[in-house]
Amino acid sequence: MPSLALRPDATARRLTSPWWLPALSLGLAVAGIGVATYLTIAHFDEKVVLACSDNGAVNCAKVTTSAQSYFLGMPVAVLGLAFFVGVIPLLLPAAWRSPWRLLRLARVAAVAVGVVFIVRLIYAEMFWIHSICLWCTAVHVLTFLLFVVVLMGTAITAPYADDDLGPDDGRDEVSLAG
Amino acid sequence: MVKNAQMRKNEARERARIRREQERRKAQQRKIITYTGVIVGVIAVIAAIVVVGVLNKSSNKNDRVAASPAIVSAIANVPPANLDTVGLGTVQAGLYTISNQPPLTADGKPEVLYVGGEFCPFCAAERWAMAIALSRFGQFTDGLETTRSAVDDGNIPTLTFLNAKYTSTYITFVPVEAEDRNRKELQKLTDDQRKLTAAILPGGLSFPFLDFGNKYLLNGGSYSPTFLNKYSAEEIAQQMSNPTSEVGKAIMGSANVMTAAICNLTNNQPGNVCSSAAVKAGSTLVGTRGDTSTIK
Repeated sequence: MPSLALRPDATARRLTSPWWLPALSLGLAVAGIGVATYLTIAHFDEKVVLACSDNGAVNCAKVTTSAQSYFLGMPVAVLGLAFFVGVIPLLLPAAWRSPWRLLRLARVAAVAVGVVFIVRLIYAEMFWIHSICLWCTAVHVLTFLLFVVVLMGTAITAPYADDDLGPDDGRDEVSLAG
Repeated sequence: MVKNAQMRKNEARERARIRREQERRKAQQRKIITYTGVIVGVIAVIAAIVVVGVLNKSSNKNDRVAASPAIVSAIANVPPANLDTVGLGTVQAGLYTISNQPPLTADGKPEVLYVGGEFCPFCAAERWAMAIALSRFGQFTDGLETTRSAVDDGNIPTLTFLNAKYTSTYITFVPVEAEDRNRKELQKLTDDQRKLTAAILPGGLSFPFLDFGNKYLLNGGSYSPTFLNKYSAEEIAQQMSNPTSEVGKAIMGSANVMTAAICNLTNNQPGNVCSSAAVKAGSTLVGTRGDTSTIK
């Protein structure tokens, strides 16, 4: 049985994350909030017209006023804004340093849902609406980059060999044999 | 002795620490490889969607694509109250009466036979109304697609019934899309269908030919379709249940006339549909255009 001294204390169990990880992920989320806010305002205020082509393959108005601009009765622009706002707490430096398994899992799950959503929206643009919205594409790119950063961040901050998402019982096992 | 034991203990600790660190690094590398695979997979999926979408658009001149769930839902869920409100809407022409033909039936039910062409602008306009009217007696279960009439013939967004599957306990719907968007032959009429259309229209088949059980015929358009080309199929689907929109007034008005014609075949079943204000309004244009023999 390992001695109590060999168990990591609360401070030691905090993870170290490179400085750029929270900075980059937060930067992407904040940029996402900016674009999603613009799309949300344009959705609700008819006087606000998106700075974007309105004919041909690139047609923001056609995309943002299509039936696909709603999901389960909610405007997609609002869902995008809610996604970026909601993910912010998971990207703070303290959250990246936390070894809490549930938090790490929630962060990965959140960006995974975001990516599934953008894949669906891209499909809708290509096959149902037949037009592309540049501002929506900006949101798609930001979501995808956030997905990449969170996945790689989760891998490089993996605290224990047997579990990349967090410690199991926090116990340091030491063999005294030999 | 005690000192040696302590040293061995420290060495064991150090070896364990190094081993743990090596395991952690190996696990980290495995995770990085796994996550990189996931990311590459997502990129591949997105790239496939974009490439197939672009190729589909540039190579498929028929522009025939599966109707989006929103369009399918919009067709199936037009509020009856809105159909009642529109009545005849902006419909300008009604249905002909078919005389001297035995009742047209299939599978023991009255048959609604549609013969049209994907290039045809009036067919483009009427398919929306047909889809709404038919959805009051049954449902499209699969295969509804969208396309446009010919580029040089309105380029009007519409549905196509080429692969559509429809079920109803009241009627049998038989669609024939005889020509594609480029006026090339698409579906052949059966011998019976060719004989029937020739008997009803001896001067030559013209589209759309919509035969309600050999009792009534829609031939040509019931409203002018040109205004529809400023909308996308998505927008038409979105607006066609709005009784105050020009799209809704035209499409729902035409759908009401068709619904009234079908009610004539089904002994006014289902009751809630056939006793509605929409059908009462629509029935005022059923068979009022004269006999098919007057069609030149």
